[in-house]
Amino acid sequence: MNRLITFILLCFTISTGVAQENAQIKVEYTERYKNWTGTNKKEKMLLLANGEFSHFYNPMTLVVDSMLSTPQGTVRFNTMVEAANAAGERPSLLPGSRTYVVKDFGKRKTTYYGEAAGELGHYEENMDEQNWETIDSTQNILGYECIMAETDYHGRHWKVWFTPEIPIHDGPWKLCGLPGLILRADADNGKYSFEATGIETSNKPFPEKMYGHELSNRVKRKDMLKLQWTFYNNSGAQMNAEFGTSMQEIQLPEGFDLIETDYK
Amino acid sequence: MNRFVIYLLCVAVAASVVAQVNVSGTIIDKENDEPLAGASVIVKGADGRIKKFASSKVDGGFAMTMPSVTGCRLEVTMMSFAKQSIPLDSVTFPLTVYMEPGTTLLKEVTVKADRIREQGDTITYNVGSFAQKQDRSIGDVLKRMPGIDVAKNGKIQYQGEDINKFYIEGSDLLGGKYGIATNGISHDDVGAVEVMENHQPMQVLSGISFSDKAAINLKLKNKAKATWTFHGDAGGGLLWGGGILPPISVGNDNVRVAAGSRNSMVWDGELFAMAVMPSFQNITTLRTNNTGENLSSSSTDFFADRRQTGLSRYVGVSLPGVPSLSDSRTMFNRSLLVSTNSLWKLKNGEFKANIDYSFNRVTADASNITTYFLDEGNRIITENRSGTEHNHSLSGKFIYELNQRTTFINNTLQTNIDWDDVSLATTGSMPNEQSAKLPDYYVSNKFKMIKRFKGQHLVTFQSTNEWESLPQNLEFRIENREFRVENGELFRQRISDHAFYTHESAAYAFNIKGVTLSLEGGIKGYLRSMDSQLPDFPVELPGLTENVVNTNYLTVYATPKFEYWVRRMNIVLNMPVSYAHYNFNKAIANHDELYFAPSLSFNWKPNNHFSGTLRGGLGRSPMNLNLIHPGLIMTNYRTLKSGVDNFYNSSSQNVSARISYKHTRYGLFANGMMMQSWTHVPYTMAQQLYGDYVVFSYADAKNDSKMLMAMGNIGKTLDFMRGSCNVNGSFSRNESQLLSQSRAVNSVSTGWSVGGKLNGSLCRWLSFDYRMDYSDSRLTMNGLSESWLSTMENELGLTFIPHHKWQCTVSGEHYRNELTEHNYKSIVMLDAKLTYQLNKKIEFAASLTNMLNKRSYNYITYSQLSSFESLRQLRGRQLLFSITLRK
Repeated sequence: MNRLITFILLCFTISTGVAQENAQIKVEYTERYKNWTGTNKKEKMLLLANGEFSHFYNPMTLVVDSMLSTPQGTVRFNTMVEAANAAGERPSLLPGSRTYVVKDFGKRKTTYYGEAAGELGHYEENMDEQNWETIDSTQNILGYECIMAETDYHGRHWKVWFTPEIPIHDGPWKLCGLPGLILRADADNGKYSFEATGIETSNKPFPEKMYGHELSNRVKRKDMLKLQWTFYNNSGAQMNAEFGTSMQEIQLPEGFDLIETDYK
Repeated sequence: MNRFVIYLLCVAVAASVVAQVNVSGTIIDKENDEPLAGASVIVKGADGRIKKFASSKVDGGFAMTMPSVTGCRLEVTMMSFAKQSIPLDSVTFPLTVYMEPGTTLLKEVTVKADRIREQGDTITYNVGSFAQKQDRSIGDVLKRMPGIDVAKNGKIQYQGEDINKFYIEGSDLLGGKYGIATNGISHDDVGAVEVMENHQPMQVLSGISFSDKAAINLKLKNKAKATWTFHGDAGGGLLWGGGILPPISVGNDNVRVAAGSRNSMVWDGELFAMAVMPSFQNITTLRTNNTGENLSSSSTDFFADRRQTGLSRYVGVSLPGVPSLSDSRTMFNRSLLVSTNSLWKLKNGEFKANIDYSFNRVTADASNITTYFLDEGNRIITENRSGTEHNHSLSGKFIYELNQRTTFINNTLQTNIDWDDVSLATTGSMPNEQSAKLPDYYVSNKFKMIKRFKGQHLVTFQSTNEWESLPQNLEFRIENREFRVENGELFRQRISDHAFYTHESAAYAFNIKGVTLSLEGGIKGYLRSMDSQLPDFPVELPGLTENVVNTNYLTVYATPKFEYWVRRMNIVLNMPVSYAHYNFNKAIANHDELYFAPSLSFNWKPNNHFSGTLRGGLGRSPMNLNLIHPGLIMTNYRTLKSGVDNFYNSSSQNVSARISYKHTRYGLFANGMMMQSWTHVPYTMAQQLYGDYVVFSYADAKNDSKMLMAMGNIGKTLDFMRGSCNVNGSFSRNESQLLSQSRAVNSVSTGWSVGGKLNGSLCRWLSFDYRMDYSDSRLTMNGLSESWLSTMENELGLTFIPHHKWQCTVSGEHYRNELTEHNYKSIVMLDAKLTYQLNKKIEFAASLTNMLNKRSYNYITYSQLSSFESLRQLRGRQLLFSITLRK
């Protein structure tokens, strides 16, 4: 009898253990910004969260990178590419951003995986850098009453709207720490913005690994930003140095800067 | 009874002396009495607004300080737990809040982002954001997109690899001749450029064959769709004629180029029309110029397979080319190109017709000194050549293609008809007049069918039939003791050479657990007959001047190929084996041969920065059948060739290594390559002089040759001026055996070169581009070395943009050639171009090329048994005004 109880208890522990690996909520955000070529970019990102952990990523990138990580997956991926071509569909798709933001609320750590100038890198930062101030202003987003909050974070002024109706301290990208899910975020009046466009309950498991980041190096945050900025400013020179071509430089659009600007 | 049971526990707390309330407590999971981390704790005022918030820590604790909690409520929420709401008016801190399981009801809004739609990995570039003032065609804009490189003739590379398809609105109208589109379509008509990476153009191969190539698709703007669009350029100007050129002299011989002495008009025009409709596409262009631009390159088929008929011209009468100077400096031309390309989308598949006609008339004047290195002393022949070449070329390509998931069918019928004739008058050591008629007739039909069955299994059938006829007529008159050229002896050589090639094959490929196995097998048949006659040949010459040759074969072959991926290494093993029966129609004994030529390659990419490839192969192969002709064939008025009179095989071994390194963070890129090969041939080329005639033949002697080649390139970005620099170098060494005047000669040619590039923007309105190349080479025969001779080129371009409507480019080139040891010849060329853009539809340009009016150019080249020094006439100063109009 005791054994049975132990067994049941063990099962319970395991199942709660597994439950930690699964999300409780799935939020789709539309990220908008003007990129370095002056194009207005719109990218669909996904936040999988359970209050203790979360992953924020481009689901298309994840699927493609996970498929391309095995030969069989590569074969399957090509089948999909061809099917799309057959259907005459060639819209902009992949690879989207290789950004993965993984938050561990227990350890208060955010791990950022990204790509700068074609080089993959990752770094950790402390979650408590965002000091929010709530503002007496509300907005309804996807049927949720959201409260505005502000903070200065890594060089930009962020205005966000969060809803206490969804009690997780999470949000898009690195944003977090409010008593409710952030459904909308604007940096410097919309230079970069995220807006929730879908919310579902979900028990989807978190991605097993950061596909596409197998060759990623540990880097310093500001070094990564500096590299990206240098690349945007000298993309022609990079090409010329690598391939011996004679490309001219692209003029960066007026007012363009990275999502974090405290690297300069 | 309240649904939520709240336990409030009082622990001793002294009232604060300061007017601050310390709102603190612990959140506990009621089910198991464990602390809850990550719960949301909010203090709301009487008006329901958030006054303060926090989240519970790992131990379940929370703490906030507030001036007052009068009228406030504490709300604790957490996913999967019921919300707790506690009035704070009559509680003491710290609180313990027990949470009960509950559901957090979400107002769901469907998430669509992770539904995988079946689309490829495509990167889209907005053309508008890459286009610059000076751009004309879409090719100019493509050059600026990351990873895309466009060569002068319009050929596109993506990440250093040739693209495999070029689509316009998803249709492959132009095939490999997409240069017409890159040079022709106005960037203003294109909305976006899509780069499809890893593009597998055949749907039936999807999932079986992985393509590492990319394709490009132009998405047109709406204004350019479902209608005809036109644009045109027209330009006119003046080309300066000049006086008499300085002579070059060797010994007592003076050679002089007759320069055109009159000024002449130049023109350059283009008309481009395009229609992109849902079921029909057409691109038609007409271009003409006499400004030294060779148009035939703009209709080159970049995807063309090599012709398998294997014919090549014996007659080699052509206008001399100039190394290291572009056509636009040396070519005196009149050129016309008309190209029309149509595509119809049918119910099943599509049909395409590409028809091109081009005409080229080129004149050239040159003075040459050829020195033959002989034991008894060098023999020098001087020539002063003046010639005209006409090329007419008509080609048609008719393609039917069906591209489905289970079946791919492509049938391509192609015809090419070229009429080339050359006439060349020579004065000097052997005054003569030559004229050659060199037409080429070619027809081929290629059928390809790929069938897919049981999902992953594919069989490919191919049937290729090609026929080519390459008649060559050479006529020449030589001045002799009694007569001047026009009354001299007339010699006529006729060659007829035709071949039929047929190839039927089937291939099967599949992928199991990362190993791709492909097997190709088939049968090839080849029938060729060649005969040549030179009835009245110069008396000095030995041997026969007639040939009747048949070279036929039947080959059965199989080519298994294994490809395997282990983590970061790709291994490919190729093992082609074939059995061939050669039939020479009794002129030579028939041969039966077995060939096996395996090769193995490893590619390794351990990290972000490094990639290396190692390759090696060996095997036996049949000789070039064109070399089988026992009698003499004249290539030009003083060179003859005789081939071998038997069938031989050659064997070879080769190894090569290639590495590349890139570190984007430091802006550093490097690559290097080394190759060594050994070839063993049982015959050796021999050179013999008979009077003024040179006879090349092959003797029955073993010839082992060795070749070593190495090259490298290092590039670095220069961020402070948005520029870059490159340094490259190469080394080569070739060793082979020859026979000269019946003596064995061991010939070693060695050469090395270094080059550099530097470019950047010094300020907003000024950018520069500098290039330098230096090369040194020498020839060693039987251990005796000639001196090292060098050539150097420098090129500097400056672009000024004083105003957004104006642009000015000034460029200069400097060439320095070492003619003999420490004897240098330099030349400087300067060009300038000014453009003014009135508005989006009209642009004016003025260009002045060769401002210093340099009229001649010297160069020297070495072959194994001779040296060749040439003085060429250059295009003089040229002023061209042009206007560009777009609809």
